[in-house]
Amino acid sequence: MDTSYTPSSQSSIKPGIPQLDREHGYFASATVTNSLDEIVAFCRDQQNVEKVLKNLPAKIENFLTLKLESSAAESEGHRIIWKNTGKTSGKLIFLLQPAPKGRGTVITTEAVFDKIHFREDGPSTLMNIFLKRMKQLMETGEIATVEGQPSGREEISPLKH
Amino acid sequence: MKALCWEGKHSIAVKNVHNPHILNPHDAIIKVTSAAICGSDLHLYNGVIPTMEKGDIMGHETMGIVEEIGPLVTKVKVGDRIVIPFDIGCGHCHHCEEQEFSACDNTNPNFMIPEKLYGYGGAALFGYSHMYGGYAGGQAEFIRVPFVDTNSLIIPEGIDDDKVLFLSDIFPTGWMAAENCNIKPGDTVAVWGAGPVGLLAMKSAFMLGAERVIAIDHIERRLEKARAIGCETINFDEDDAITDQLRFLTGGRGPDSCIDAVGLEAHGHTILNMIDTVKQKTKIGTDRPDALRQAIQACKKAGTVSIPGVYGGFLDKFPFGAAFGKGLTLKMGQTHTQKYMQPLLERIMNGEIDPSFVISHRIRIDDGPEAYKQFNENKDDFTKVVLKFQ
Repeated sequence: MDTSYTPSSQSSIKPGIPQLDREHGYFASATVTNSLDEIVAFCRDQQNVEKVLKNLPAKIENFLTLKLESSAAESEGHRIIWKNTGKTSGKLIFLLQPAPKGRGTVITTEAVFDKIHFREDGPSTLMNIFLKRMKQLMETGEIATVEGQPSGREEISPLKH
Repeated sequence: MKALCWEGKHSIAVKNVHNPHILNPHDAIIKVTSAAICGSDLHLYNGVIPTMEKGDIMGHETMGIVEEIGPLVTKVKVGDRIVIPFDIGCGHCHHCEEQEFSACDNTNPNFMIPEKLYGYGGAALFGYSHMYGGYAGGQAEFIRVPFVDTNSLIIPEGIDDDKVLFLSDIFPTGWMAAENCNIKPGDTVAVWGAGPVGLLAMKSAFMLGAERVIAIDHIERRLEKARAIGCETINFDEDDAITDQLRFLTGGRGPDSCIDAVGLEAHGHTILNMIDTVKQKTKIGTDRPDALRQAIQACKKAGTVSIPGVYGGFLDKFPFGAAFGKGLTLKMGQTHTQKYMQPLLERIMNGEIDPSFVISHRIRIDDGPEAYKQFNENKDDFTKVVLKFQ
């Protein structure tokens, strides 16, 4: 199942919810407890964005040469656009808005690209994974992992009983 | 180190595996002193919880000594003796801030699996399938604990492991099950399942003000333990007309609240349970919810059914009409363990309860595989097994 979401053009969307490029983009949204100012600073930091992109379970090397194109407060919210300067054209866009009743910040991400290689997961699934891991990094300072932990699949030597 | 590993249905092995190490900056490595086998581990043993993989290290009821801490750990110190909750909270997301730790947004690296199955993924759990994160469990000589400042309770000197080990799961689980019943003075609470969680739910119900607690099981030794803490008991092997018995015992009203401490592997003699069993064995069904059906049927009008028992999939012949028709409140879910650990430790230290009364066996890790087998097959003798590492 694809867990990111592209609203249908018939959807009734309240004012303030971002209007999306439904023809070309892949979208996901999440709410984080951090303030809008913290998240603006976080999403403007190239290291943060690339750290999560590199952590994705897909081959996306040709989408990793990013350059900040713009970062500005707009009527909908604060929009940050990263442009890919690698072999393929594309953009990674963050729209940041205050969550209701001081519950942090709503992040809507949009990825627009012409050609990218995916192995196991489709682009919409990857967008969901990307944003969830961004959320982990924003809220906790780390990305949850079990890689490198012990298991019986790597037994050192059989025990003698 | 030695670890108890899941090798497949009805197969647990002691294996010599690598020691864990710090993977993230809020991690700690714990030298385990005591770990318990939980009734819910038997769901894994019996192969009814999906996404286990051969070699997974078992265990989610663990305590020990802090051996090493990551660079961003601030509360816990090397040498502290800690109890580790079974569910892993990050301490920073909306749900952790609301003390809904088992709903944590950030600790499950495999969140896509429960999102597909349930809509949203909750917190990761130690040693409880890859759907719940795939974290190595604590039935091992060492365990890595993520976000250790959130996922630990420091234990003062002078208290035995056995008294506090169950703060990791079954005491908070029993307590939350009773708390979810919103017990008022004079209430009668019926509890299905007199295993460790059920027994601690019964004890908790009394502590929260219940007048009467009625335990329902078919294992006489467990019912004896329930009677020893003041419960009345029903053995469904002798009479499985549970609703009729409870109606009679409560002056025709039904229990004010009912607790299902059984979960997805109910036993019993009803036709529905026999059908559930066939469906589960042939993989055309997932859960055997007969205790829950009985709880819903037996509960008084406008009462509460509290469900600490584990469910994983789809429930057939679920009597939702009865729940709706009587206006029942259903409360359930994995325990927000971290919320309860400190206040329940204080109750232990005050002498209000010693949860170690549920322990039946203390063993070494080498005896773990046989203990799983016996715990699963011989519930008359095995109530709660604790692995000792020192």
